[in-house]
Amino acid sequence: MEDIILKLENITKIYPNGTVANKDINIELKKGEIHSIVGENGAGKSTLMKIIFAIEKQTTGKIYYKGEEINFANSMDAIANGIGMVHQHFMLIPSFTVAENIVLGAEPKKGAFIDKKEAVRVTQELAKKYNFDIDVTQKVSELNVSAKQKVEILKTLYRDAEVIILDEPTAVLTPQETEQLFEQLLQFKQMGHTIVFISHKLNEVKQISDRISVIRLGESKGTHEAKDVTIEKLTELIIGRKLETSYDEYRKPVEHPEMILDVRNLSFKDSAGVPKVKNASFSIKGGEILGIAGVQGNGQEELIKAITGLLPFQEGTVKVCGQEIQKMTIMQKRNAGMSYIPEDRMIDGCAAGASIQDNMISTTYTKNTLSGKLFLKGKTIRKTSQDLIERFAVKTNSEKEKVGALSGGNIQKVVVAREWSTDPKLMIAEQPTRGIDVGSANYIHKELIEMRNQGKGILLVSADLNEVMALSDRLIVMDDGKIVAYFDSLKGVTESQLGLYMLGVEHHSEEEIRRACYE
Amino acid sequence: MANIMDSFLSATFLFIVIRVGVPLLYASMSAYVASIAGIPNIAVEGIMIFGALFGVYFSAITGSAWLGLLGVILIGVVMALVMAFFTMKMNASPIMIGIALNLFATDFSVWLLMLWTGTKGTTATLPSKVLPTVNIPVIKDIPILGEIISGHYFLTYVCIALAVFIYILVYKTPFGLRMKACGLDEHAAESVGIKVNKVRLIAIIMSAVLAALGGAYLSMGYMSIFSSNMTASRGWTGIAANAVGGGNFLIVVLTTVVFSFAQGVVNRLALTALPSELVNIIPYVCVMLAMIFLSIKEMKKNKAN
Amino acid sequence: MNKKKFKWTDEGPFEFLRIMASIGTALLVTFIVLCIVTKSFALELFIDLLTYPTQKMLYFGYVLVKMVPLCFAGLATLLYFRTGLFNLSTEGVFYISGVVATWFAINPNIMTGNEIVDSAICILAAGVSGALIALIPGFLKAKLNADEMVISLMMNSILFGIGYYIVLNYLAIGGITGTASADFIDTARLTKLIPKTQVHTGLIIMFVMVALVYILLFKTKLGYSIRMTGLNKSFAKYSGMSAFGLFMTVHLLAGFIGGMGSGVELMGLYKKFSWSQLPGLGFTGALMANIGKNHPIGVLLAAFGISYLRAGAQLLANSNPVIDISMISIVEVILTLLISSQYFLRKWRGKQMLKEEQKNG
Repeated sequence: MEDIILKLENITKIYPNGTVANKDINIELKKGEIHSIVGENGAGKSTLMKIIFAIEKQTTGKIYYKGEEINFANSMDAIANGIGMVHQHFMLIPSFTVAENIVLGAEPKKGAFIDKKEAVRVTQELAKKYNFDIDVTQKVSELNVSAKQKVEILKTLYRDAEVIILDEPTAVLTPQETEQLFEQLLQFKQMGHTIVFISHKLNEVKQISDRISVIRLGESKGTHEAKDVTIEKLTELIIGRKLETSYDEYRKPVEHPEMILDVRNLSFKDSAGVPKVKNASFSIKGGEILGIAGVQGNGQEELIKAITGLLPFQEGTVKVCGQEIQKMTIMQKRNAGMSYIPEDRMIDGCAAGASIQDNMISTTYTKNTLSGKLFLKGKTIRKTSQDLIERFAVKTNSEKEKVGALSGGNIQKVVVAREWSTDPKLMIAEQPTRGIDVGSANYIHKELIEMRNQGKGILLVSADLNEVMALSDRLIVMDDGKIVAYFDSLKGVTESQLGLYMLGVEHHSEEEIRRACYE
Repeated sequence: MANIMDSFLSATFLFIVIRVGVPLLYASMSAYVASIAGIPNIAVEGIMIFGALFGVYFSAITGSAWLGLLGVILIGVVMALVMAFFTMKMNASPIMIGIALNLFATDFSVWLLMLWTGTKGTTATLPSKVLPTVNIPVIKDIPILGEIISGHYFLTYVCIALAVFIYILVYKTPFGLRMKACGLDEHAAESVGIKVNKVRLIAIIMSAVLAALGGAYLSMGYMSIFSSNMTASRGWTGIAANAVGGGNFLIVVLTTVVFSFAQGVVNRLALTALPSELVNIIPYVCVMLAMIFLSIKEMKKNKAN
Repeated sequence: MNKKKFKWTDEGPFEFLRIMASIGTALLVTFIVLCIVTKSFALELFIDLLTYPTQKMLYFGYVLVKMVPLCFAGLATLLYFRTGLFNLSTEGVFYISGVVATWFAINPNIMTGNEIVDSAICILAAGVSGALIALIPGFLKAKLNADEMVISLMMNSILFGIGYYIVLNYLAIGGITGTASADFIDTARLTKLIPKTQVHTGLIIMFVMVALVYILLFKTKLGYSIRMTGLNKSFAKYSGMSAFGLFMTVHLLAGFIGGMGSGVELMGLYKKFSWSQLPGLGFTGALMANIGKNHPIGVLLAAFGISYLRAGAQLLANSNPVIDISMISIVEVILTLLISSQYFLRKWRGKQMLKEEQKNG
C-alpha cells in the first residue's frame, strides 16, 4: 500500500447550479508512475484536477495523500505539500523573465531584497538538472509556446513538486515538441516524480503512460495498465456504447442546390506570425451540412473567425453565393447571407445584461421590417421576439427578462433563434451545443437539419465527434491547421477511424482532399 | 526676450522647477504605486486636497507641524481604507469610487473650512504650522549646486527619499515583484499563492499616503495656508504621467520632470506680460500631447504585429 | 388579475430596495454629522434641511432651477457611460460652450430682437460648439484608443484656460479687460416660467431633453447600438456594429447636450458670463449618471434629489453658520459609493433567497 501516493475516494462534485461534474470517482496514483486520465471534453477531468489542487472543493468524498486524509485550504497548501500543476492556460507573466516567473511567490532573498543573481543561478541549475534547454534571463513574452510550458513545469519543480499534474499539455505542442516533452516526463519518472497526464489524444496516452484511468460523463470507468489495453478498447470506454442518435430520418434531399460557400486557399497567421490555418479549401452547396472534425486548437476556431470577419486573414478567397466577401465588413457579410452561431455564447453570442428581446434583434434590427430610418419598430420587435421565444421553446416568463438569468441551454436557443431569424443562406455553427443539456442540444440539432432541408448551407464545427458524425453530410478533418482528410459521405465511417486522422496518425492524399471543393 | 531665455538656464530656475515639481512627483508616485498593483487610484486629486487641509488643521490644533504631518498620514490611510473596502470587498468600479471621492474632497473641504474658519476661502486665520526648510550642510556652500538643491522644504527631501524607496521596493524586493504580478495577472499571482487582496491593500495605503503628503507639501511649505482649489489638477497630472510611463517607474519620473519643467516655465512666464490664462495651459497641453504620442506608438506597435 | 408575488430573485424590486437603503444610509450619516457639529438642534436642523424648500414657491423654484445644469451634465455623461466610455469632458465643454454662447449673446449685430430666436441662437451655438469640442477626445478614442479619461481631464483645464482668456480679453465691456463678460442682450435670455421665482423656460428644455435621450436610448437604432456596445463590445462587433462611427456619434451627441446645458444655464440664470473657475459639472454629471443608474429618468430624479438637498442647505446657510451647500457632498459621496457597490446587500439578499427556497421546499 505504501507505494500509493495519492488516492481519490468517492469524489463527487456538484456545482451550485446543479451540474454534476464528478460522480463517485475513485483513482489511485502510484508513486513514480505516469498516470493518464482520459475522457472527452467536458467529461470532468479538469474539475477533478482542480479538486486535487484545491482550486475547487469536492462536494463529498475523501482525498488521501501519502496515506493521510488531506483537506487543503487553498492551492498554496497543495503546493507546499508537493503537488504541482501545469495549467492548460499558462499562469505566466509575459513581461517578467523566466527566472522571475519561476521564483515568484518564493523568492530567494538577500536581506530585504530579492537576490536576483541567486534566482538566476538556482533556476539555471534547476533547468540543467532536468535537461531543459532554456535561458532563464529571457523574458517570457519572447518564448514560444513549448518554452513557456517548460517554464510552467520548472515552476512546479522549483517548489519541489512530487506529484506533477499536466492538464492537456500536448494540446499546444507540435509532434516534435511532444516527443521532447515525453522524454522529459520519463526522466522525471526516473527521478521519482509522479506524473498525472491529462489528455484526450489516445495514441500519446498509450505511448507515455504506465496506467490509464478513464472518465466518462463525470464517472470513473476504471484504471488500466497501458500495455494491456488497446486504443480501440480505450475509445470504446471513453465514448461509451455508441450512441444511436441518427438524424437520417429527418433528412430530405434538396433539388438543384446552389453553391453557397466557397473557400479557396485560406491561410491565417496569428499576431505572433505563427500559421494557424494552412491553405484551406472547401465548398458547401445548399442542402448540406459540412462538418469539421478535429481536436480542439487545430485551427478550426481561426478558420471560422477568418470566414466570419472577426479575425483578418492574410491569404485566400471566401465566396458566399458567388460573391467575394473577404474584404467586407461584418455587417456586409451578414447582409450577403451569412449567419453565425459563435463558439462562446457569453463573449460574442449575447449581451448578458440585456433583455432577451434586445438579444434577439442584434443582427436584424437594421432590416426594414424591424426599424425605419431612425426608430425601432417596438411592437413588431416585441412580436418577433415573442414568436422566436415560442418557436424555439425558450423557457422564460417574458421577453423582457435578462439573458444572463437564463440557463445555458436557453441562452444558446436565443442565439440560434436570432441567427435563424436572419433567414441566412449560409449558417456557420461553431460548437452549437457545447455545455448545454441534452434536450436543448437535440432541439438545436433538429433545427440545423431543418435549415439544411430548406436548402441552406451549413458549416458545422464541433469538438464533439458524436455531433459532427450525426449531423454532417460531408466531413473534413483538421489537424495542425491543415485539412488532412475529406469524406463525401459518412456511411461506414467509424469514430476510431476518424480519430486516426484527428490525431495525425493518418492523412488522405492531396487529391482526395481536393474533392472537398466543388469545381 | 533674451532676458527670459537666460533666466531659464539659471540656478534659480532649476530651484523653481524642483519646487513646483515635488507635488507633481508625489501625485505621479501615488498613481504609480496603486496602478502597478492593479487598482487604479483616480482619487489622487481628492486625497491631496484632504492632505493639504488636514495638515493645516492638525498642525493648528496641536501646535506642532510634526503632529500635523502625522494627521496627514492618518487621513491618507483612512481614504485608502475607504477605497480598498469599496473596490475589493464591495466590487465597485475603482474609477467611480475615485470620481466620487474627488468630488467629495473638493466640496467637503470647503465645508470643513467654513466650520473651522467661518470663511470659504483660506485657512489664513488658523495658527497653522509649516514644516521646516532644510539647508544641507556643506552642499549649501557649493556654488550653483548648493543654490539648486539646498534650501528646499522638508517634504522635498522626503519626496526624493520616497522615490528612491519606491524604486527599490518595486524593482529590488520580493514584495515589489508580487505587486507587479498582481497588477499584470491576478490569476497567475494567485496560482503561486500570493494573497492578492493583501498586496493591493498595502499598495493602496502607500498610494493614498503619498497623495496626502503631496497635499501637505502644498499647504505646509509651498504655501503656509490651505485654500480651496489649491491642488489645481496636480493629482490628474500625476495620473497622466503614470499613464505615459506605462508601468516603468523611471519613465514615470522622467515624464514628471518634463511636466515640472513645463510648470516651471509657466511660473517664470507668469512674471511677464503674456496672458497668464493661456500660459497656464502649457503643462496640460504637454500632458495631452504626451498621451497622444503614447497612443500612436502603442497603435503602431499593435499594427506591426 | 393574478396578484404578482414579490420574489427576491427579481432584479427590479431588489434594485429599488438597494437604492432606498443607499438613500437612507446617506441621510442617516448626514444627520450624524449634523449631530457632531451642532451638538444641539441637530434634529430640527435636519428636518429643516429636508422640508425647507417646500415652504415657499420661491424656495422650490431654487430646486427646479438648480437641477437644470445637473440634469444636462448627467444626461451627457450617461451617454458616455452607456457606451462604456469614461469621458469627463462635460466640465470643459460646459465652460467653453458658455463662452461661445456669450459671444453670441453680447453681440448686437447677431441678436435679432426676437426673444425666442435669440435665445435659441445662443443655446444652439453652445450645443454645436460643445459637440465639435467633444469630437476631439472622441476621435482620439475611436482612432487611437487613447485613454479618454485622462485626455478629457487635461482638455478641461486647457478649455478653461482658453475660454477664460477669451472672456477676459474679448468679451468684456467695451473691449476693456475685466473679470466678466459684458451683459447679455435681454432678448438672448430665457423668459421666466413661474412668476416670483427664478424658474425659467430652460426647465422645459430640460424635460424635453430627458424625453429625447430616453427615446434615443430605447426607441432608436442608434440607442440600441449604444446600449449593446456598452454591455458587450465583442457582441456588438460580432453583430456587425461599427465602434468607430458609434464612438464619434456618441461624443457628438454628448458634447451637444453638455454645451446646450451650458447655454441654458447661462441664458436662464445669469446676466453675464462670470465663471472664474470650472463649474465642476463634469464630475457631478458622472455622479448623477451613476446615482440615476444610467437611465434618463433616473438622472432626472437624481438631479432633483441632489438639487433639493442643495437648495435646502443653501437656504439654511443664510441663517445658520454650520450649514452650507458643500455639506451635501456627504450625501452625494455615500450614494455614489453604495450604488456602485455591486455587493451592497448581496449577502442579505442571498439569505432571503435561501429562506424563500426553504419555505417553498
